[in-house]
Parts: sequence; structure tokens; C-alpha cells
Amino acid sequence: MKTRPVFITGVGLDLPDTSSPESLTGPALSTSIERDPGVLRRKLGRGLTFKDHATRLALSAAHDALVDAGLPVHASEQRDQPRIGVAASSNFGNLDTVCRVAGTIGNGHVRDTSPLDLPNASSNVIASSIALRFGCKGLNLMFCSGGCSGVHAVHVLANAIRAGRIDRAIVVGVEVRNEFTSSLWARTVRAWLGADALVPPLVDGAAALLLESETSARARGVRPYAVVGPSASAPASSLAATLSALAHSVPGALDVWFTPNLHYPALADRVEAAWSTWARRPPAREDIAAIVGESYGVSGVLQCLRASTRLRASKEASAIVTSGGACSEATASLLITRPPTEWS
Amino acid sequence: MSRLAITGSAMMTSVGLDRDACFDALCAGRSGHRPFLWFDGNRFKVQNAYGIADAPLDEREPPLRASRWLVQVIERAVAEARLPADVLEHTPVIVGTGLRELRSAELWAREGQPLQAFQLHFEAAVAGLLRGNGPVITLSNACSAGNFALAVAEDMIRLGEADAVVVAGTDSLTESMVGLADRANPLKPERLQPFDRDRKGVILGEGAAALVIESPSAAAKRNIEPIAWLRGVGTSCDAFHETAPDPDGIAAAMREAHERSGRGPGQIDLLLAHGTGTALNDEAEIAAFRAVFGAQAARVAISGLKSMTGHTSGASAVVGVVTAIECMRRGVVPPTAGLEQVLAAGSDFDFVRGEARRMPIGNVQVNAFGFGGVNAVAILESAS
Repeated sequence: MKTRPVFITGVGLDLPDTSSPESLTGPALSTSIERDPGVLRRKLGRGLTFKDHATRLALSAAHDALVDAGLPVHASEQRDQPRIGVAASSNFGNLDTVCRVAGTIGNGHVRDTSPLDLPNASSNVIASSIALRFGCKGLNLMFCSGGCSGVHAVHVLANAIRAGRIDRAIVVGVEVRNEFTSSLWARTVRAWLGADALVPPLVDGAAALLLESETSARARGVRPYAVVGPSASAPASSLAATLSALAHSVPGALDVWFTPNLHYPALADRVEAAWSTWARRPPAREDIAAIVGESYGVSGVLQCLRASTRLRASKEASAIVTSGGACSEATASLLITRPPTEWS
Repeated sequence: MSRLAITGSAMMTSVGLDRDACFDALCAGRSGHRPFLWFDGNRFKVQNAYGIADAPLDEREPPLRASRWLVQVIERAVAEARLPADVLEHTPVIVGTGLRELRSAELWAREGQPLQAFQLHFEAAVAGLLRGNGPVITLSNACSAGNFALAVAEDMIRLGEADAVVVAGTDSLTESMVGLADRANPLKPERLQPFDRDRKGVILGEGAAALVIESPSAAAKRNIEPIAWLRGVGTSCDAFHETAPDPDGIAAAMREAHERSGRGPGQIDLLLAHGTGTALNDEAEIAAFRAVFGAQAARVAISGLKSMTGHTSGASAVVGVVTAIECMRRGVVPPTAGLEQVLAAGSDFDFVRGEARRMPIGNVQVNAFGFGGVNAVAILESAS
């Protein structure tokens, strides 16, 4: 099958105290989870009352990606063509709802629960809420694959565009920090690195991309940020081979590598080892975790967002993003390149 | 549109712990409906579910049951496909699931049972089995997750990204989902009765199933005869309501499936319906089926497996596809158990009920719809 190029044409962000992609160049962001509810209300209007925190953050970032791409944000403005797909990536989005409801039942009876929790008990509430809010009737997927989840989401939705299943896609990564998610993450890191390991704060935020087929982008005369390239998976121990295979598909030397989270010494060693074996001029490195903390299911989307804005603002032509690798999870990498000159 | 080879399959549900036991029980109209295995009945209105009794009931419920079933079914499907180690190493695994390992999260939060964050998804569980570089992608797509996993696999193979993909589904019951469904239902269903006038709602079940999908040339090169063909998967999202289904969205997924598969209403012999036994789903499914199939609707045999397995959530679509393959291989269709009076909207349709029906089957449609209006429809073709 002929492979059609897939572009990133919009980006959106909702992190504590910022929605600006420029803030990802440093210094480290606030780890607060407080947000001004007025901002979200002004952006999205009504209908948020029964949405959980993760869904709200995801809607906020998705909204900004649509606006950035110059696309309508009201469901009534969408038509059946072009077909818009949605992917959300999150591991912790509804963990609090599930644990809290199970606790309520365990200490009492199902009649003590609220039926309003029903939609939030299904992990795909984030992806389906985005579709409902913005009128997206194409393929709708919820990725819960750990730290690789965001890269999986971008890659699979790009495939769906290449395969002609959809013309555009909103891809969102979101994680939330609360008593359940912080506790589970901390015990996981300590089981991996030892009881005295320093556990980085989990991100409480969302990142979003708008992906688009070449035909769709051309019809709108939009200027893309970047092109989504091939993806590869590997255990952290074989990062070097994976990266070199991906890097070989770009003509020049790779310009920048968005690394896995260097906070963890065991993973940082793997990254150093892979970087030191680079055959040609080694790329610049960027570690988003140093700015936002552990972003887990958001990381792949966030790295693609950062790669998009970095390539647009520089003369650099190519980047690899690598997510995952913490707590013995696999890694997933994705190549992102500058659009052909006719587009810039 | 070319077709993809299905070279291995496996399933387990409350009616049987392997594929043959499952299919035989389904054809016999046997139900897996039983009292809760580990949940405390005093805390629920409903008292039954379609659980898999896979551990001693006088001990604590063990964590990670969905992960264990997943490993078992993948192991069997891969063995049937005789996938060699060098292929397996690069084979992506796409797991469709409604509830991931959220039951283990409940046991962690409530009882302090062991859990690590990465065990909420299935990479670590299958890594030991496949030892590979292929991604393990966990899609938590509610009740249609299995067919969405199939769609993702279809794209990977058609785009030349993989020669073979393992598609699986797995789900164990969570107290939160069983409880909230119980809370939201004003009725107290005694059993799941798809398409019955007196249906009272959904009851959840447990299950797992797996398939090996390959490019036809890769299967031929290995001299492997497919057990069936995957013609194509159509997907849509209603973007209509959080929990209520929309016939237009369902119809869109069916039409896309027909378009992608090159198989239309005139060629489909059997529909394995989503049929959850809720007032809204069954009406919407019937309406969409009639809208898309028109004059052909009355000649298609229809069966609803959830009448026997319960609603196995994200696993249900893969259970449906594995069952569809057995129907085509053996020329027999399981009945919709307990379907006594067909709902008025479908009274002219050909539901298989009472007992299994022998019939030749060329093409099967497997429907799957989920919370949030996420629809995925698969079209399969007989290998003979």
C-alpha cells in the first residue's frame, strides 16, 4: 500500500500554570495541581460538571490543538467529511474513580454510589468525551500501554490516516496526580530502584496534537509543523540498535533526540550507552521530564509536541522521540521530520 | 480489497476454558451464569455474573487474573499458527480490554494486594511469552475494544509494517463497573436476554480470546493454511451521547466495514450481534441493521452469544470473532439462549434460537459497540 505522509498541524497543552509550548524549554514547571476553573470554563463553556479531572485537562489541550490548527471547535461545525479520529493516552485517568467506587461498595452497598460515576468507570471516557465535545465521528481509541502509550497513540492514528480510515486525528496524552496515582507510582519506582529512590512528581496535565493527511492539509493551505515518521519498539537494553535503524531513514545526521526520563539512574545509563555508540555526529538531547516531571502516558505526545515546535523554530530537520523505559517497561520511539521545503 | 489470513485462535469464557469446550457449550445453549465468585452479594442488587472460576473460592481473589488468561489464549493461538521464534520476536500484540487490570487496582486499594503501575496494562504479562521487540499495545476501548484492536492490526499489516500481528482481548470483572451498572439499572436482571421483549439489562462476564492475523503472502510462505480470512474492519464514533448508542453511528461502522471488506449485505450469511440485552442497545442495533441491510436483513441468521457468556466487555468482540471462525469451519451456529419473545422491532428477523442451527456460512459480520458510542464491525470469510 502506498504510504501517504501524515503531518502535525496543531499543538495544545494544559500544564500547571501554562498552556504555552514555549514553557517547555525551561525552567522546571510548577508541580501544583491547582488550576483556575474559570480558564477552562471560558475556553469550553458549559457541560463540564460531571467530567473527571483527566477528561477536563484532555478537552482543554485538544481544544487548543484544534484552534492552533485553524479548525472549528464546535461539534455543530464538523461535517461527516473529512473524517476525524481521536486517540487518548492515559494510564491513571480514571484510577481514582475506580478505587473510590470500589471502596464505597466495599464499605456499604451499590446504592451508595452515584450513577454519574458510570461513564468515568470506563477508561475510554477521555477519548469518547473528546469525540462528543468536538464532533469527531471517526475511529476512536484509548491507549493505556504505560510509558509507551503516547507514542503508540501517535503512531497508530498516523497509520489510520495512512490507511485511509480517517483524514485527521486529535491525539491527546493526559495523566493526573492524586493520592491513588502518586502512591501507585511511588511504590512502582521503589520496587524498581530501591526503597530510598527519589520519586519524581507525576505530571498533572495534558498535551495534544492535530494530525492530518497531506490531502487535508493541502486543501486547507495550512503550514504543518512536522511529518510523523516510522516507529520502533525495543527493551531499554537495545535502544542503540532501534535508534540507529530509525535514524537511518533520514538522509542527514539526526539533529535531536528526545530521551526517556533521565531522572532514573538505571534508565539514564541506558540512554548514555545508546548515545555514546552513535555512529555519526551524535544528536542534541532534550529531556522533557526535567521540565515537567514524570509524564508517563503523556510523554510521547508531549515529546512530539516539543519536537514540532523545535523543528519549526530552528533549522533542524529531524528528531527521534523515545518514551517509556522506566520500571523495566519497553521503550517506543518515533521519527519526526521537518516538512518538505514546498510546505515551509 | 485483499483479505488477511487468520492462522490461529483461542478463547476462554465462563462456559468453557478452551476454544472447543467453549464452542460446544455455546452450541448446546449452556450458560455461564452463576452466583458471584468473590464479590460480596450483600453489597449488590444483582447476585450473579458470568465469572470464570479459575481459583479456589474459599481463598482471597487473586490479582492479575485477566493477565493470566491473556497469556494462556495468546500462547494457544500462536501455537496453532506455528509462528516461528524469529517472526514472533517482531510481532506486535494488540490487546483490547474494557477494564484492563483495574480489578487488581481495586484489590490493591482495598486489600493492599500487590500491584505495580505497569501491571495495569499487559506488556509485562506477555513479554515473557513473546520476548520480542514488537510493541504490546493496550487499547482500553470499552465493550468494542476487541474489534478496534483488529482494526489497528489490519492497518499495520496492510501498510506493510508487520507480517503478523497478535490480536487479543481480556477482561475480568471489577466491583466498580458491576456495581455502577447495577446502580444505574432500575431493574434486576436474572439473566442476559439479548433481543428479548422482556430483557432487563446487561450482566457482565469474564473472558479472553486471541487471534493471529497475517499477510496472506507471509502465511503462504510458511505453508500455513488460514483457518479463516479477515476481510476488513469498519469503525466509527457516534459523538452523540456518553452511554446511549446512536443507530446512525452504528450504521456508519457497518457501512465502512462493508466498503473496506468488499462484502455487502447480500453476502453476509450470519450476524453475531453485539446484543447486550439492554433496552437501548438492542433497539439501536436492530435499527442500524435494518437501515444498512434493507431487504437483505430478513435472510441473515442472527445470534447473540452474550446470552451465554455474559458481556465479556473488551474481550467480547474477539470471543465473537473466534466463535465466528468455528461457525464457518463446522457449519453450525449457536443459538441465542433464553430468547423467548423477540422484541417487536426485530420480529421479522431470523434469530437462531432454541437450538444450534446447521447451515453453510460464507461470510460473518461481528458487531461490537461500546460506552461513548465507539463502534467497530468486523467481516470474516470462510477459508473453505
